Amino acid sequence: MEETTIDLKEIIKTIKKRRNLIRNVFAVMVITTVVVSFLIPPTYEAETTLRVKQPKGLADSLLADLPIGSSNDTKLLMNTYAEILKSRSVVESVINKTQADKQDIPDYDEMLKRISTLPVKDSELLKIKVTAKSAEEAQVVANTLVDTFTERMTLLVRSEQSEVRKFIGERMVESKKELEKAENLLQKYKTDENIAAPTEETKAIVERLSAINKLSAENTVALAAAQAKVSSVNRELAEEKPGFVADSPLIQQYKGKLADLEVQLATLSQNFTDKHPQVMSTRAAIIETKAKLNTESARVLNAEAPSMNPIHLGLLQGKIEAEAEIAAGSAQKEAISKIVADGEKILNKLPAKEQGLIRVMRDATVAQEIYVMLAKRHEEARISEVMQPTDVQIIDVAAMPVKPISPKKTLNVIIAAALGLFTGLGIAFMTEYMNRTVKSVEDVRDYLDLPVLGSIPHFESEMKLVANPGMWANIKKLVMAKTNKGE
Amino acid sequence: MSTDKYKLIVHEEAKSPIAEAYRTLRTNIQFSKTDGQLQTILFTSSGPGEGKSTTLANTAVALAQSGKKVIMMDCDFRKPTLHKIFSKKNQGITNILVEEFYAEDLIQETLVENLRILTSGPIPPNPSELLGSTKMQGLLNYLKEQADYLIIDAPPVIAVTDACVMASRVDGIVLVVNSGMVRPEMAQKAKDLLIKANGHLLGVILNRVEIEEEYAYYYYYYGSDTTKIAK
Repeated sequence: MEETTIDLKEIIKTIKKRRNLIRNVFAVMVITTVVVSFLIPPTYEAETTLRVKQPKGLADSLLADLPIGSSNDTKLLMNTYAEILKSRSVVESVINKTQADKQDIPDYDEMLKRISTLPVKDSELLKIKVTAKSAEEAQVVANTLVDTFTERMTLLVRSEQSEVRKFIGERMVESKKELEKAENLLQKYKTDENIAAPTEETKAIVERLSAINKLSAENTVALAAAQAKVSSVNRELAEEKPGFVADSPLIQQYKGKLADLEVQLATLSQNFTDKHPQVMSTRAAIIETKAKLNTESARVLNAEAPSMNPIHLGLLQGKIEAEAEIAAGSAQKEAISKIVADGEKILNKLPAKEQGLIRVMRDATVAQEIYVMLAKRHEEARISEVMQPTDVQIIDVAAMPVKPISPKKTLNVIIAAALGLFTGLGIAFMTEYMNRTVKSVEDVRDYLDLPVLGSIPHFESEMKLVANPGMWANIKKLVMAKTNKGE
Repeated sequence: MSTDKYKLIVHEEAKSPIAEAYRTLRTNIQFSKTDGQLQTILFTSSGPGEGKSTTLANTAVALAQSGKKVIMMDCDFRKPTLHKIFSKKNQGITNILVEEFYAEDLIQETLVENLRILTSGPIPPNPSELLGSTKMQGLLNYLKEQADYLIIDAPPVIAVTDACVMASRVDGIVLVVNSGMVRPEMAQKAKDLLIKANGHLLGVILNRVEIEEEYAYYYYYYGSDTTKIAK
């Protein structure tokens, strides 16, 4: 037996010879699989879909340094939200709400295994799947999870907003007092100096100064709000370890640009009203730069984060934004003070009486502007405090799953059938090759070097052959019968 | 499986391919090349349960059908079966060798013309010694005069020495091999033992061959020169 050739006939012979073995192995495997498939308790899966909105910057400008709203950012955002969704606080709250009546309450890690998040490719959608032992439970847990998650998000946003609202509320009370004081002073001055109304010239000056005054007021309020934000974030961060500052040349660049723009706005406001195209474009540029700064700081945070806690990351990002606003605000404040000083020079040319009037008038106007703005900001903060944050929307609530996802009976049976067939064949061929016996005339020649006087066919197969004419014989018979009829 | 119902297929179903195979086998045996005459033929196998006795019986029937006078001897004293195949009472060789019986009284006719049988008789304590005895030789010589062919059943080669004892006293030995049951080295051992005992091996009968091979006809020339002629 120097070389063994694989002969198709041999193979077919082996298969025929061992067909019982093959059939039995096959049957055992398939039956076992079917039984096991029916014994395994079914697992159900409920699915919900969330939409994660990309915070939009303004229309793409050709001057943009970076493309914003790229799929990469969406991915970052998605992952952040997915992590928040799986965070301990959310999941444990879900366990408390849905698993409390269970005999063995799953812990965080066990529950986490049942939750999977999957961003839908090239879209803002995030699929969330939850598995459970019953269809109802899967549905309930999925919905509870999503609700808890949005609540958590809302809470995060609201805590910040309420901080801002409180702060501005305090400032508003103060500024009201200041306004009353300024108005009283004005009133008093008018009575004391016996001036009913300022001269035309004076009016014009006041008119000119009013814009810068308004800006000054705006600046004061913005600074205050930013400081409120910083203090709120710092409080949230108190339990984390501070000392991480997201920084990159780009962030610095944006911060600088923001400050420059604010100064530019202040200078422009001195000469033009809000409707002036240049003023409008400057304001737009400020908003855009802020958006870019946010995405950049988010990127940096994600890349060099000190912790993997997504909530922490969100807080840090807020802090960076607020700090940038403070920096820009301070720069603007300086610019405004300069312009105000210039205004003073103009004022000094007026007679003393008029000067005094203008001063008290200006104080009153500024106080009023500040008060109005604060009131506006306060209202905004109150609204956003009670508003649902809209950057996460629930697209689909979980429906009750109809069929269990596992065990996949059909697939299992198909696999078992294939495996059974291969195993059966494998065993058949193994036994055939392991069990080397004298079988054929060739074997006798090879092993014994004796002539074969005769080979006696097997009785049993002989009997079978007679009793059970094969498929071919039947077909032949049919064909013959047909042709006979035809004739 | 040795659960074969002993079937005399050559006699009962003369038209069947199996009967045809036996007739071919008969022809091959009759025309086997030997040094001298071929009158006494010993059937044996390497192990038990290879269908030795059934093959022997059918071959004997086939020989008888060709008009030759045939006597079958059951020298498998340990597990005699021939008398069962032909439904005969078991009184035979050992009675002749040990007691004072005469062979002509114990040779029995069978239902096949020209075919007679001498059964083994009761199981003796010392089979191989009996087979090697001069009385046995005498019996053989006597029976040779009574028939054209003596077909002798013997125990398997490897288990006991009986077949080897007989090997040199017969003209030819046929080794029955059950297809797919015997390991090559066992068959080789059987062959070597028989040759060492000065036996003349005529060849092999492959028994219970899977049906696919039945339509192939083989012609054997001297030695192992085999030509296969497909149908």
